[in-house]
Amino acid sequence: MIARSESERQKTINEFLDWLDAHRENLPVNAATWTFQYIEQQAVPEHELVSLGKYNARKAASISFYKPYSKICKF
Amino acid sequence: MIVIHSQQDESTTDDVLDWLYYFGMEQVKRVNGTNPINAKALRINNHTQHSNLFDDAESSAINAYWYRRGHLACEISEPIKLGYSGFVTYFEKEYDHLTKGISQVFKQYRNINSFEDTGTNKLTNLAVAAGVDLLIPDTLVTADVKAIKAFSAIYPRIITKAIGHNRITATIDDNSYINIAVDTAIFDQDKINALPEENNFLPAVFQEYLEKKYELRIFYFHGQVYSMAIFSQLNEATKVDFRKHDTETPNRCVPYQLPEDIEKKLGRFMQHIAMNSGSIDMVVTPSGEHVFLEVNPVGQLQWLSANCNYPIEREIAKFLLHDS
Repeated sequence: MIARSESERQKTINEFLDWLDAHRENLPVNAATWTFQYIEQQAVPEHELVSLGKYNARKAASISFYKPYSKICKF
Repeated sequence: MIVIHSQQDESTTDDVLDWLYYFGMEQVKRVNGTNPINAKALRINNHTQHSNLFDDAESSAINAYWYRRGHLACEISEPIKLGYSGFVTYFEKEYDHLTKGISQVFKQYRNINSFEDTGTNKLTNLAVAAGVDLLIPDTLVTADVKAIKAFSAIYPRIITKAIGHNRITATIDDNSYINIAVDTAIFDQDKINALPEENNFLPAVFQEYLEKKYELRIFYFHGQVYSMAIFSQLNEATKVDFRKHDTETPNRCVPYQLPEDIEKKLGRFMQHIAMNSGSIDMVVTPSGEHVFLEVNPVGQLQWLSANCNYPIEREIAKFLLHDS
């Protein structure tokens, strides 16, 4: 995926804000307090996901030096 | 067998699984993400009620069920969606009933929540909370500008928030979208005065702004409460809504002992809404009053157990093992 330039992002946001302004009176009455963030999806390739075996978990990021609680303390 | 409905990157699930394995439990099935119900079956008669939602997890072998996160969904094909709009409305309502039905079946096992709890209603929850004598903020739900102006005249400041859902995803194309955050925000006089009285607005929630000594995050779990105080008021980023985390200077979070009567009221509240697990948000005012805000059935747990050294994940595992 090619990342968009800052000017392209800003153009998209401006178009969106214009659309919101044009429809402001058909939106929730508190729409003036909404905040926005332009997101480009950066899907992590399958091969870069970390699999946690029998936990059936797949993660793009995890806690550094993760050690399960049950291995830290003996109850 | 223990069935856990979660998401593939949900860390609390990993911690609970770790405890289950530590205690010697190997018969665990973790199901991640959205589960389509199209080809699943729900069987109900005088002798049994079960669903084969989780494939090889034979319902007869299930001993306990934890709904952590994720969805149940009925997939309606694109040609139908693009056809007559009334069709889709009908099918969505129809299959919402089925989803709730399947969800109820899993409540017959030893369970922690169910998918149905994701539909808990913040407005009725406020009413229930008031009904068990918990303090709640004065709340107005309306699109009537005159009513908002009259409400704002009662209090020095008012806030606004979403009725039920605080995120909107406005799709731009396959790779990008605009994330709209409908967070709790101050609704000041400038914004109120800018509203035309003749309009076709949709309603929103307005509440009195509460001055806070600190905020509380409370994890309620089958009658147990684990409480944490969040010192959010010295940081402008988190003053109105602590969920706007400041990762540079995070709020100080410490264990907190709730007054006994508040614990009892929270227990009654959770029983009334028939939810056995949830993350409750409250604030403590400068005069020491505890005010209930809302409950989230799928709230974040790790920051609570990590900051306060609470054995929440271990207790969840023990509950699933019938050991608590």
